[in-house]
Amino acid sequence: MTERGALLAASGMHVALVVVLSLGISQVLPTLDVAPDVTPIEYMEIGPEPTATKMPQSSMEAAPRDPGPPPASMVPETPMPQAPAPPVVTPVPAPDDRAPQDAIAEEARRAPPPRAAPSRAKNSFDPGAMAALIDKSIPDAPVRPRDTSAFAKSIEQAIPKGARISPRQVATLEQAIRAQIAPCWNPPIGGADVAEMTVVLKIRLNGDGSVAAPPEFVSQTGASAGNQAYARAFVETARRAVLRCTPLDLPADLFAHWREFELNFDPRLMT
Amino acid sequence: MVKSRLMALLLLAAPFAVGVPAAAQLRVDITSGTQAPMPIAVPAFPTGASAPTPAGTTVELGRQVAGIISGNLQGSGLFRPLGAGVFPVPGVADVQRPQFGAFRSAAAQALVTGFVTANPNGTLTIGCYLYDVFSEEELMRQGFTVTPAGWRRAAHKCSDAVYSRLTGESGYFDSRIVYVAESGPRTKRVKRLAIMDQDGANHRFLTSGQSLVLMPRFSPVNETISYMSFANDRPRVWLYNIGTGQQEAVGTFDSMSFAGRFSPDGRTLLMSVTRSGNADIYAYDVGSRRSTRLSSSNAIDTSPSFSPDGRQIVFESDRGGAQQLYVMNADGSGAQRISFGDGRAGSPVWSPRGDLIAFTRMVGGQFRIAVIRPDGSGERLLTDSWQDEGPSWSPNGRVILFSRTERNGRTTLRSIDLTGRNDRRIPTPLDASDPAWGPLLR
Repeated sequence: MTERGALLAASGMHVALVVVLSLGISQVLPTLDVAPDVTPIEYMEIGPEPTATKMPQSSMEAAPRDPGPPPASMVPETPMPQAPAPPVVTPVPAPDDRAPQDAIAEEARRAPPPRAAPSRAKNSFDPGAMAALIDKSIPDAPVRPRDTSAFAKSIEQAIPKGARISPRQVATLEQAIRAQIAPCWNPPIGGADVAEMTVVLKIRLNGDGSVAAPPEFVSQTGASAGNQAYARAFVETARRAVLRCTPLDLPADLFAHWREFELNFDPRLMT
Repeated sequence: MVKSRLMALLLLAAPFAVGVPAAAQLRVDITSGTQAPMPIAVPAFPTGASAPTPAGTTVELGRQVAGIISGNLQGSGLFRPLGAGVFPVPGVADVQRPQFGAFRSAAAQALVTGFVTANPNGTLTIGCYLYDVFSEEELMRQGFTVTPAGWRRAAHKCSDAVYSRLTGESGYFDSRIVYVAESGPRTKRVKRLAIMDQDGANHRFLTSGQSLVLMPRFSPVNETISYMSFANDRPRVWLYNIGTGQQEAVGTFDSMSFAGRFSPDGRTLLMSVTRSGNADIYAYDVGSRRSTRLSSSNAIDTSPSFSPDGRQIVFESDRGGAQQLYVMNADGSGAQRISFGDGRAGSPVWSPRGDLIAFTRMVGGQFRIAVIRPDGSGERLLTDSWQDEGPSWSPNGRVILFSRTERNGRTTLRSIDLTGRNDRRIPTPLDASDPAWGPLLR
């Protein structure tokens, strides 16, 4: 083969290769997974364990609440050597327990955002410099913090009492009831079939937490013709647990919810 | 057209027009409680007019009956009796209409009260009432008429009625325990059969101690005890009728026979008979005096025990290499191993309630009492001492009696609840071993 022929063959094959490659063979090959972003870890100092000296009492005040309004000042990346004090927005007053917390939280979020002070730091993105570009000729709209207390009151009056209770309040109430009834319950562990039994009692309480009527039997599981004596003893231990440890200490403002409730006695954690 | 569309819209909106429903009723799960003995008030039993009886005055009897009931309930581990020292003796009128205030302020949850009356014909009538202190309602009442010699049994029967009403279990206080009383130095031990009430009272010896006795077992009927005796240097099984005092040797085996246990109807006695190096289980019919061989292996099969329905037998065998527990049908077929795990297992006894088998678990040199379900699952070790062995169930299948040997050689009787609680000593005048708990007396 002549040198020219060889050159032609080689260039021809090069062209063919380019054509084949540009036809998108890569679409047939699987794409490589992109490695996920590395999540940054912040190391925290853990202080010494707190020692509780007194058994904590449950109460609505102690329950965690929605956070208040966001912090007043937005701190820029680098410190400002001579920045004036950032404006402080007066925080919305703590929400009233009776009012629906959701509405108040939303109000807090709509509180006017603070204005960042101008910065004179050199090598950083300066959000304050943006303010200089804003056309100051147009006056700012007047910002009036809304009077939320009247708003809250109107909401409270509109919704009937006791219609809504937040899940947090339910959980705290359940915990308070459980903590006071469970230590008084002596199920007849060791009896045949008792491990599989449960009983539901309906409880009616007065405002001071004492029983308004004897606990009422609702339903029972695990009882059969063969273990009637154990089933009866089991129900009686549940009744006795309630009568032993009432009056219960529960938050008075949720009385509508604990005036009448059901207790499900299930010894599954004991067996 | 517009109207029908409007109607459709209204229908769609109707559910929402009802409004937000009121909060669903709260339901709280109580998933664990405590295991604490129940405080129960047992003041002394009053009597109408104090009358003398061969067993003491009725006033004294009233105090003692309350004391026996308190002792029984406390010994079960499930009650904490508040006794006569805490409350004054009630009046007879208070028995049917108690004043609950004092008992409620003492935090008692139930009240046991009753009366003792001497009848003109010489018998005693003992009444027994149980009340719930919270609801003030009467839960149970029973009356017993006994001879002056049997007044303790009335107190035990009252304890049984109170115990079973409050726990759901059947009672076990009106029963007796037979065991081997030991005395003397270790090289020359004197062993005698002894019998007593389950609370230790009315203790008496049944044999003289001249020949070695072992393994006493109660028949569920007719006051008969089977035991092994080495009289004439030959180990044989004997049947001893406590009522008549008569004894009868079981079978004429030309070999060593070891005492086993009775069937629930009392008609069959299971035994282990040794022949040419291996031991097999035999069923001895007490009435016809005939025996049937049940197991036939080249191993040592021993310590058989019937299930309460009489259909199965649990026994100890080393056919697998070391002593383990096996369950077979009452006719000897279908033997299956049920014990596994560390060490060896022996001396099985089936609970009268049918749900558990108690046995001795031997790991290394330590012997412990354990329970296991008949299918082999749920093994639980109950005691943790050096040598605890030879379990025997109470008539209600709730409490296990066993013997404990201490390192100084002393042996005592102890009992424990099947939940593993309330490990307590049964007092005996001498050292004691090999206990067997008899049935509830009628």
